[in-house]
Amino acid sequence: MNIKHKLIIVISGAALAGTLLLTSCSPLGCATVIARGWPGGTLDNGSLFVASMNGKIIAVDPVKNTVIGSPVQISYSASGGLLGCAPSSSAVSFYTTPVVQDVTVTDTQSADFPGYQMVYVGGWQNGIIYAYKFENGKWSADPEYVYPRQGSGPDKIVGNLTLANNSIYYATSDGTVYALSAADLSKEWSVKIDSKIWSAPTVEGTTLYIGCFNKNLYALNAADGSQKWHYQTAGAINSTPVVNNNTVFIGDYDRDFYAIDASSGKLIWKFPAADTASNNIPSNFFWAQPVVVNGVIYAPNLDGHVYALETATGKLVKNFSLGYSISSSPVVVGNNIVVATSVASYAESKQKVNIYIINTADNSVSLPIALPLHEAVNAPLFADGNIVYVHTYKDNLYTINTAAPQTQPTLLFDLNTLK
Amino acid sequence: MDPWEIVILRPMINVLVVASKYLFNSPGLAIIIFTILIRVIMYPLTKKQLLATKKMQDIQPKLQELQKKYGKDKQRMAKEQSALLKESGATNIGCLVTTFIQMPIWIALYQSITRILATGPEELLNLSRYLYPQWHIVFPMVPLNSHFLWLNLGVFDPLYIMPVLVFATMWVQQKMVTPTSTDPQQQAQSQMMLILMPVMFAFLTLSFPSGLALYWVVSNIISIVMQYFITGWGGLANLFGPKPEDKGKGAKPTPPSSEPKKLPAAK
Repeated sequence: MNIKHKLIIVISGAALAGTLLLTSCSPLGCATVIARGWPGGTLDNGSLFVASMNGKIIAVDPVKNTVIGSPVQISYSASGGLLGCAPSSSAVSFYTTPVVQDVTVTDTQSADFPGYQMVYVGGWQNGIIYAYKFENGKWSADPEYVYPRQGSGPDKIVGNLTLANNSIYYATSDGTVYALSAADLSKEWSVKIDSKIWSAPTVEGTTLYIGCFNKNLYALNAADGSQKWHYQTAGAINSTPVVNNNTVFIGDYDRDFYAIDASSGKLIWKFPAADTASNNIPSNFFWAQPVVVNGVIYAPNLDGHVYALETATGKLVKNFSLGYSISSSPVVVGNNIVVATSVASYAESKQKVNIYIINTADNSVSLPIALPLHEAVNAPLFADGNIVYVHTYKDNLYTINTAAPQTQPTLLFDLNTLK
Repeated sequence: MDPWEIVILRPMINVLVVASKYLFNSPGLAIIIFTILIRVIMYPLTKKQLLATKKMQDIQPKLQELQKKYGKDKQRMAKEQSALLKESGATNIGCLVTTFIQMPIWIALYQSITRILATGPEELLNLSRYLYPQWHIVFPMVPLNSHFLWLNLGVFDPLYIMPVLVFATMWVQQKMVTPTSTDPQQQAQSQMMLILMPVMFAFLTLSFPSGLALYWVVSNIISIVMQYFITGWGGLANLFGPKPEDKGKGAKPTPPSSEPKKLPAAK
């Protein structure tokens, strides 16, 4: 065999070996879905709790802008590639924002906060709910409780967790809705709906509302999961319902926005209506959660518009054209609504990202506040007073002062590198 | 969006979604029909490529004869080879040109399939960018029903049937176009290449959504059928009998490698 032939065979062999390694041992081979997550944050009792894109839960002092304690790192056992040579442990991705429950302890010496905080998150890959104790500025080394107690959940968790009535409500992608005890994450009930679910439950009184990919909005009894009613929309539902004044508001993938009677499940109104002008008709999914201020619901759409509708009638108050896609849920700060827009929500670079402040008193819009690194924003915005927190797709946490919108956003942390 | 996305990718994605709607809400059927359609449209190019490959196969014995005769005289060898290629009408460039023309179509189809089978939140968010707002029919369709036969088209096949099918169909297709050679070195090399590609794709099938594997299997089967009718069984004929016989329409029998035709005189 001459050198040329040997060379061809060696190169071919190397190509095959490379392919095997690529498909079996690399993240590309082990995960066909790029899942970074988009967790928001929660302010509770003077601390800010936020999750990172690489499986960390972080406590921040929002006054000093310092990290409290060492962040918790949550990992899961990756099944590995075909050759089983992938890392055995990988960081969990979070689409869920940490939710926090204050737990009072009677024999504690602390006067400021007599107890500890229990912080709950849900892992995307393994479908596990974690409860970590945060006490005196320190995290518990291991989760206090997990659900399921052993192994993984039935499917991935995308929709947020909801804390209400001392229970944690959530759904897994396979269509199972759960109620767990917030005290120890023991299961109170679970209901299987024949549909994928990425929506977060909204609990109002004794009723839980949740949207599904089978185009139905369900109202379940929060005590036992039994169904009260369901309403079929024209498209899949991914957005989280909002309940206001005995009305459930929800948008779907077919670009319609609905107001449904919370008691009966009957349609009150739908937008766009038959007489809606063509330039006011939404042209993409209703994805992010809407907000209600002063009798008007502000529904963001992936078409870059925020549709302000009268909650009672569905009449269009104003169509805010903000230019770029809105996948991040807005936050209300006083009379203002803060909205993040991105050119595209997937790619990591070359993003044009602007933050807008809508003044609901006169429905005026601020000049765009540009994020310096043009990073996409999918995570829900959250606020503490006038300060709005923006968690970007590159895992940077920015603050914007809505009282001084002319000032540039401040980069608080690169959450990815925090230790 | 860049021109590639506007001109190629976006139309293909929307057509695939609409096709799913009219094919019993099945993106699996849409992938099959779309792949067949694309292959039919590109049939003239494929035929040209296959005939060029066939001609190259046919002159292999003559090339080997030239190798034996002028192997040590590289300059003469090159001259003789050039004359032979010119006389037979076989050309590697023809193959390359048709392959390069087809490449963007395959890449677009590949990208479209991965996008419409969005399984993760980021992927679905990304898909929303590609849907035509004027096509009202596409929005209620999303996310597509990814179940087809035993498969979830958005993830790899846990039963490993698709990797086996990808390997088998690709091997048959490759075998049909792999020239037979009396040179043991070239034969060994051909055999290795014959195995390498199907193995590589079978391994890729283990990592990629099975919707892509479905596309590969359908595409390979179409290639096999086309090759049969254009150039015959080719290298596969050796498996069924000692003497290869082409059954394809318009195909010429492969001359025995030990009896090359008279070579053109060198100038």
